[in-house]
Amino acid sequence: MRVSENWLREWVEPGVSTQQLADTLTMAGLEVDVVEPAAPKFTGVVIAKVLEVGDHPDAKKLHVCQVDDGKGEISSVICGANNVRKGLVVAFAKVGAVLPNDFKIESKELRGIKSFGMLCSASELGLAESSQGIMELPEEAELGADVYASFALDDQVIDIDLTPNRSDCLSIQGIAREVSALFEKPLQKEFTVPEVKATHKSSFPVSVKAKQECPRYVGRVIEGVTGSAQSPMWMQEKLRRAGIRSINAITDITNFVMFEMGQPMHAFDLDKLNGGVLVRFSNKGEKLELLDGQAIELDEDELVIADAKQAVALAGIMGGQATAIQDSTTRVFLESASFKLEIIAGKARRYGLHTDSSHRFERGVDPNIAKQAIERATQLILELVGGAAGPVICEEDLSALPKLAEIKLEHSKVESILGIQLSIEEVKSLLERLHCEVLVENSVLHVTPPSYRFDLAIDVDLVEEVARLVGYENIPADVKALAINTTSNIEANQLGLIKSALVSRGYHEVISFSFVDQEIEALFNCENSSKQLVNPISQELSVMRSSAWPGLLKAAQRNLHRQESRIRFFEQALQFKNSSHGLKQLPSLSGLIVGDCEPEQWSSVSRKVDFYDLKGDVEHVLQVSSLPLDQITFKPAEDAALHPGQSAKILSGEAVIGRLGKLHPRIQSALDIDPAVYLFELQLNELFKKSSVKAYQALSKYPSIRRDITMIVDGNVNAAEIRSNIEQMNIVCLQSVEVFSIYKGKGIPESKKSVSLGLILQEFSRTLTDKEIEQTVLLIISQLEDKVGAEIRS
Amino acid sequence: MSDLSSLEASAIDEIQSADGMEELESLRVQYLGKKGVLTEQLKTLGKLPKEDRPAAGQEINKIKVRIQQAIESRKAHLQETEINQQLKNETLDITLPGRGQSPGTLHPITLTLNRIQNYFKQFGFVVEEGPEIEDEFHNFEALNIPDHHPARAMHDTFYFDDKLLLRTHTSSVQIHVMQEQKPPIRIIAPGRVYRCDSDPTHSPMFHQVEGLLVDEQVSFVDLKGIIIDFLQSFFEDGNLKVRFRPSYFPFTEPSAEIDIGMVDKKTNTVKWLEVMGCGMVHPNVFASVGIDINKYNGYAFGMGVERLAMLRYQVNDLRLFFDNDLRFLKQFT
Repeated sequence: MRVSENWLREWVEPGVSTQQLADTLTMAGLEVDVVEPAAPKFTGVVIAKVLEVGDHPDAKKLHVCQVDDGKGEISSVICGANNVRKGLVVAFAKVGAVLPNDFKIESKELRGIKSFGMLCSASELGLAESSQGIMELPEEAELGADVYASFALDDQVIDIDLTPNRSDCLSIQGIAREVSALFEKPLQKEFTVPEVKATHKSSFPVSVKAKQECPRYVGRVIEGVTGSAQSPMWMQEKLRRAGIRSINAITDITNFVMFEMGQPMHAFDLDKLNGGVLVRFSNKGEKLELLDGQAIELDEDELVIADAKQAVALAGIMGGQATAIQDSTTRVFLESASFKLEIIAGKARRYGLHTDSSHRFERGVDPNIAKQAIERATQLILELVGGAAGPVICEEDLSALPKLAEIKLEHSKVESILGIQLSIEEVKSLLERLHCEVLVENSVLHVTPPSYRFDLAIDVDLVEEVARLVGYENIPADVKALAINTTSNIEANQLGLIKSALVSRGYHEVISFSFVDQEIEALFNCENSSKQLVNPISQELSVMRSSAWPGLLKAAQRNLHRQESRIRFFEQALQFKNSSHGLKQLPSLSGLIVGDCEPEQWSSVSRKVDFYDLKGDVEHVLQVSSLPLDQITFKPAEDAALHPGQSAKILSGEAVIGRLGKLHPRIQSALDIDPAVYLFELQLNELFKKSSVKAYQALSKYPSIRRDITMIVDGNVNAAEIRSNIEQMNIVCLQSVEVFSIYKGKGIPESKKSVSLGLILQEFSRTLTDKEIEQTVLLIISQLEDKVGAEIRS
Repeated sequence: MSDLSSLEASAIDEIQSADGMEELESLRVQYLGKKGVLTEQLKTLGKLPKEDRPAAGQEINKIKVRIQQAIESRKAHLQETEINQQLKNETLDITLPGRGQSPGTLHPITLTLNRIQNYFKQFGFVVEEGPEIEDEFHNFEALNIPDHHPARAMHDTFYFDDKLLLRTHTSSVQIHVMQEQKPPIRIIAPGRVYRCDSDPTHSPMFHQVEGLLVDEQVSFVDLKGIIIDFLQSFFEDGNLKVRFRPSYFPFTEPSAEIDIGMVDKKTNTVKWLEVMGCGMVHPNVFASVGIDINKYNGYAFGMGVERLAMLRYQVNDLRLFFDNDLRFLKQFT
């Protein structure tokens, strides 16, 4: 809401500076976005009249004009504008004038003829973004007067960022009421407008079918107007400062009244309306060409203004092209109506529209000003355009109008919500400043807010008003010792530990968008149907990802393109899994490594990361988690996104808690990534499931013995198989089994490999004898020969 | 006896010029060994007259002790030299970097979230999380934002075809929590939120932290207290100016926007920056989750994490947070 300070001060004089006014508004919840001058400063521009227009002998497009500056001096001025003509009243920058941007006007020669000054366009004076031709001032403008002064440009525009609840402030009147309450200064003007007596009997039939949705419809016929008439400069200037473009006098007047009083209005060309005005719901498929040129096809639930033939306006939103005011218009039908907020809300957006009218109706327009507004508009039309007014036509259903409901406010509520004490009289007087009617009965205030305050419905709404007027800054702050709440958040702490573990292993945390390109998502998501946005920002951000991998890969790609040789990333994010079982949003922790294993080092040969680097990191994370480690297994798994021979699912008992592996070469090439990429993904819900506190195990006093076995097995026998076959034997004295060497190649038959195991043996309560050790090792060897076809080497 | 003294002199001389442990050892054997020179000398004592023997024996033994001492002292000297040599040989360029992984970093948004969470955890606020794909009830209706409310248009919501949406704020977590828990409630809800808006100052995805406290006898005074203390603690400035100004959120009443005052050193004027929103929980919100408004009261607050992170780290481009450029990420150690 752009408010001219001068205009506001016509209504109420707060007696403070612009800055203080703006600060007070901001601190009362009417946030002032910016205060800017109504126009940039310029001097030496006067209202003048073009007496003669002649052609320039050497330039087709230039005119040589004789201009009367109103003080008896005639100057010869060269002007290139098409609209310059004899008799035109113009803004004339005399020699010595200084226009905005410090543009100094001097006499100069144009193609051999001297020009003494310049005829200005609105944009040259900073009064418009752009303009065609020079400014055309009204004929009655006072010649010789200074333009800056007579346009009252020494003014500030206060741009207020209104919250949607304060529709009452969408007018000068509304802001004035607020300023009056805040500064406790009286309004200088009355809201009531004198009735304009009808001077003829012309009326027009109005029928409201949708009474609930349009409880009041006020209309009036004005005859003998000139559609082409322009509004006077003062009105154009007020509208310009409010951000409204001048169109023609009649339209400008409806906009002016809306801006002054808050009542959106519409003016129809009466001769284009057939039979009468009907407020009804649209028929499905009904067509309407709007003022902005857009042709829309209506649904069946739109409230429209129609004539006997067709819809002529989208009620409360925008008028139609067919019935708009034109230069030829001589008879006008004015509309000032009350529409139910709920019926307008959201409708404009449906057609991509947002108008000053819909903005107000969606938030609430005082139902009691429709008649006053039409009187005010009539008064202005008669005064500025001429014509004769007919009688006011009013169709209304009082029972459908919003009720002024009384709100009961317990005095104690003010203290319980705000934490400050105010006497009941203080509360009453504060609310009365806002034109609420207040009756005090014991400890209860019975409050009836004014009809324009749609936001005051329940007691706490009034409490907020009290707080606003007291000033939030005058309410004390207190950090009362909050009682200790012992529910600690173990999960979040654990997540922190896991993240720190990854960070200490060289990982950088990234955050990537949760929505990705559908084609990329499809590479990773074969089973689920992805969750697709109806209104994405772009195709690249259109589906919810089922894994953070696409985001991590995109981040890796980006950095690889910048020649980063070593990337380790992780991200914590939700996975969006959409399947026939419904939608699941699972917290996950995912990671990626690519490139060099370690930072470039003077002392070691650089090596690229491989599967086991990644697995080591994942094992580290699992150790930090609360899962019982002895139940975690890695199993080879088919995974569309991963290399079939270098991928695994991670299980805790029976539950799958994650996956890891090398990115499938096919996807790698589809994403145009050169080095091999390794990825992991862990389900955080599973990671934090069990908190296992391990019992302490007593330490043996007796020595432990190590025996190594080297054997040859089939290439596809895996380490877990060897280990589980040994574990199945339940040998009490076997403390641990470690694979310490794997060898393939020379000396080993093809398709076989050599595996070396270290066995640690120890009894708790005695020293093992050589014989026992030998027997145990032999038992293990025989088990391995039996179960995995091992051929023992030593 | 002159023999003996010259013997001693040459022995000591030889010992003192011995260059290594081996040479020293052979000198020890030569003089003090079983067949060494002095042992041989002791054996010749028998040839002396009986009365001279004790004195001569003593003399030889004294020489033995002195030679022994000379050997020990030379030994210590040689050991010292050897260690010094070893130390010299083993001296490294300690300015070369250490071996192994260099640590990674947490994302600046995580660092900021941690800061926020750590503050509120002190007061017993529990971290709660909610779904990011939400329904209209949790994101709007229960928060007193009915269909077609103008506030909905301001939210630029991402929709799915089945009436689901991406949450536009973490305020939706309030509703989940109040549906499941009974007061007193003290939670903060950090997380990702989404708005259908993308330009240099708006990201379609960003982070918020919502806070909610529901208890008996909670007032605006308490809300102001904790927020001011939080912001002063977050920005590590006990004199930070914090201003509350009336605003509008459908789910709180009264509502306030919170600005912090940044002093412009050039002009010495205070510039107010909006950093948070807050208010007393609206009775309609309590009604939608069945909390007794006659018994309980509460406050809620919300903040944009990127905003706070940008202020704290003086980051001037929002998009840097989601570009995941290592040159940026590595700065937050």
